Amino acid sequence: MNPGDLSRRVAGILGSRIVDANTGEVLGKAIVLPWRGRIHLIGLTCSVPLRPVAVSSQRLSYWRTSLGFAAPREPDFPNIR
Amino acid sequence: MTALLLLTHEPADRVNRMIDGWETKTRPAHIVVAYGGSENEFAAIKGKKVFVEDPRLRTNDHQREKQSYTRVLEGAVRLLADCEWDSLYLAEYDILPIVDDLFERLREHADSEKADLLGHRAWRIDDTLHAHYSNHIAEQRWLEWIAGISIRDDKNVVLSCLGCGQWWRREAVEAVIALGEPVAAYLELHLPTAAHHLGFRVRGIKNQDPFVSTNPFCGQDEASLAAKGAWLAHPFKSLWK
Repeated sequence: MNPGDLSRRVAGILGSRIVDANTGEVLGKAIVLPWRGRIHLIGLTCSVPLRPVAVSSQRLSYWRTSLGFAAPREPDFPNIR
Repeated sequence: MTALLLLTHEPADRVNRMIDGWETKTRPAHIVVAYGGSENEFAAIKGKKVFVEDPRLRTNDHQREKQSYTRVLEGAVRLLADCEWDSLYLAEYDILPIVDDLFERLREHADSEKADLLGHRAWRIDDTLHAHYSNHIAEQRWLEWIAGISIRDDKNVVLSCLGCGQWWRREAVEAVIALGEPVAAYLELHLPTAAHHLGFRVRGIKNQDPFVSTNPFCGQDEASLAAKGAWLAHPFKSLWK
């Protein structure tokens, strides 16, 4: 088993669910690991690339902020030729 | 009128069966084979064909070696130069056509979307954590080249779609080929992104994405896929044996 398959298998069992911050749809699982000021997603099982997004917050807070994820956007640009 | 471009490296007997299979099933206006196999096998393939020597096609680790279809498209379009066609469908060897009117459906979809390029799993990825995007921003040259050819206001947009099963309007594919590829980029980024920055409209074929996977379909046959609404399916590695 290659490292990619192994990490995905482990993430599938032990990882956190990655939920679309806009729709609530479960996009997959990953082991979420903060390290040296970055957030690493190990063994990502999502079938779509993740888009980091700000998570909406009903209550204004200055001591906590959350980073969420969403599904990618479809290309939708006009023909300009 | 849709021309069909079949990209394959399979033995000649299988390629000839693939040509017959697609011709009978989907009745394209023209068929061209772009071949990435051996010269001996190439000689035994019938019909319009182009031998693609480009090492950027003949990759092993496709993503890391930044596999390219530019020479594939260029060779096919050159062969079709004197033929009448207004759209080109690029099918890799492991696509199974399921519906007889595949090209009519693709045309209708493209017209309704006003699209110049239709691709599977089409996304905007410059605001995502897509591995291909992360890899390409590590080396800025391709992004700088794209910005240099772009006629768009936002020159940072990067699009992605799968290489298999792309539907192109003639004007768009000819324009992208004319650019060449002076800076290497993986085909799943290069083709839709270049088309976008030349001003063409790129769209997905979302209703078919469930049938176009990177994992082989197991235990499902043509009839069961058709019942689920598939126009085509990918990948079927053992087709045309």
